[in-house]
Amino acid sequence: MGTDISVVRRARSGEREAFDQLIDDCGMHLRRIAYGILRDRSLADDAVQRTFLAIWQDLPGLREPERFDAWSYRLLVRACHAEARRSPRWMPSLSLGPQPEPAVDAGIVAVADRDQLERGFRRLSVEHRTVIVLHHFLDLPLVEVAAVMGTSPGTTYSRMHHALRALRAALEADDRPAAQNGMAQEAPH
Amino acid sequence: MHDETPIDPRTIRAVRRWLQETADELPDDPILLASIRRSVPDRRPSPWTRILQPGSRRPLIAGAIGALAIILVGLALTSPLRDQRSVVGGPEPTTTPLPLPRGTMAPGAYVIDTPLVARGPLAPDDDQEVIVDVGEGWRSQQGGWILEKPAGYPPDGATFEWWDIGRVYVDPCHMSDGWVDLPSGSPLESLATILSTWGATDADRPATAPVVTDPEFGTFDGRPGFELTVTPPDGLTIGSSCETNRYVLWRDPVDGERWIQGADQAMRIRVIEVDTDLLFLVAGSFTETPAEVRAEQQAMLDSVRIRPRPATPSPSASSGS
Repeated sequence: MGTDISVVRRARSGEREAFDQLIDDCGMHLRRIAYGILRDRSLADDAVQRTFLAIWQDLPGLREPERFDAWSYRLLVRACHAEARRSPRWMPSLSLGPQPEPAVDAGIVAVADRDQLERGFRRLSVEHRTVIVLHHFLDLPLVEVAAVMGTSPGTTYSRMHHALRALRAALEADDRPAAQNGMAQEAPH
Repeated sequence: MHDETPIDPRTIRAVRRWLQETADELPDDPILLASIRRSVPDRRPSPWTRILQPGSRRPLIAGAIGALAIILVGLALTSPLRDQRSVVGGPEPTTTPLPLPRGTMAPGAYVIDTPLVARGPLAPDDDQEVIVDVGEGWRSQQGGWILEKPAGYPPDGATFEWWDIGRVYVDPCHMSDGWVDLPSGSPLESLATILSTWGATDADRPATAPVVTDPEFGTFDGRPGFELTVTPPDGLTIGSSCETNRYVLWRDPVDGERWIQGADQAMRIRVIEVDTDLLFLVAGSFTETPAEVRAEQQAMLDSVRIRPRPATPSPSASSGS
C-alpha cells in the first residue's frame, strides 16, 4: 500500500485531517481486499468502515508507524471475518452500485473460468479465502500472511494448499449447472 | 500431514488474474469514503476507556477512574445544564435530518434513499426526500440501505427497510413460477392486489405461498397508502423445500432481492403513494423480537415523512479549501 508514514504519525497524534487523508489514501485499496475476501460489495464496505473505526481508535497504540500497512491489514481481516460471521445468509445479491461486468473481450481469464473460480472461491471458508487474497492478490509472503492472520506458518501453508486445490478442482469441473441462482429465466426489466 | 501435491502453475496464474481483474472492476466509491469520514468521531475515545476494559493491568487505576466517573455522572445528572449536554462517549443525537451513515447510528432523524433508484422520493436527486426518526441502537447495514437491531436474523432481530419494488415473485419459494413486474408509476391498488393475492400456482405442491393479511388502507403523512403483513406459511422448511434454498419475496430494479431470513420472519409492509410513485417501507421481525423493539419499528414507520428536498449548495460554495 505504501502509506505515507508522516501522515500515519500525524493521524496517530490525533490530527483528524491526517486521518481523513489516510481514509482517502487507503480506503479503496482496503475495499478491494475486503471485496476479494467477502465477494460482496456491501459486506466489504461495512468491513472497511469497521476497519477505519478500529484504526482511529487503536492508532495511538501503534508503536511503529512503518508497520502501518501490515497492521491495517490485520484489522481489515478481523473486520472481514466479523462481517462474514454476522452476515452468512443476508441478501448476498443485493447491490447498490453497478455490478462489475465480466471482462468478456479484454479479460485474461476466460468468462467460464471466472464463473468457476467465483463459485469455487465462495465455497471456501473465509479463512481460506483470506490466505488466497493476502498471498495471491496482495503478494504478501506466507510468513507475513500468517502474521496478519495470527496463525502459524504451517497452518497458513496448509490453508493455502487446500484452497488452491479446491480452486483447481473448480476450474476442472466440466459440467456447470445451468441455473445456479434461480435467475436463469429472468427477463430484462 | 500436508498434501504436498504441487499445484498446477496455471491454476495459480488463473487465480491471481481473476483476483486482479475482479478487484480492478470495482469502481472507486467517493460516497463510501465520505460516509466513513462522517462515521468516525472527531475525537478518539478517552484512553481511560482502554484502562477500564477487561484484562487491564491497572485495576486500581480503573477502580479510581470508575469511582470518579460515577461521581461525574452523578453531577451531570443533577446539573441544570444536563439537557444541553450530549451523552458521555455516545454519538450526538441528530436534530436535523442527516444522510444515513454506515454502521452504528446516533438516534435522530435521517434521510433515507436508494442511490440507484431513478425516480421517486427514494431517488437521491428527487425534489422530495424521505425522513425517518431512528431510535437508540440501530445500525445501518448493506451499504446504508437497511437498518437493523441488533441484527436482521433470527431469533430476535429486527429490520427497517425501504424499497423500490420492480418485481414480485408469484411464489417466493419457487421463483421459476414467474413474477409480476411493477413498472414505475404502478397504481397503489395494483400493488395491494398483487401482494394480497400472493400465492402458489401449482396445486400439486405443498402450500408455500406467504400468509398475507388484508390490506388496511389509510392515510400516512397525509398521503394515501396501505399496510399488510407477510409471513411464510406455517411449517415451511425453506432450506429443503424451496428453490435455491431461499424464500424470495421481491426484487428491485437494480437487482437487489429480499428473501426471508427465517421461517418465522414477519414483514410489516407499508406502501405510501407519493405523487405517481410508491414508497415501500418494511419492518421485519421474528417471533422473539422484543416488544419494545417492535414498538420502535412502529414508531419509525409512523415517523416517516416526505418533505421537499432542501436545495444543495453548489460545489463551488461548499469547497471552502
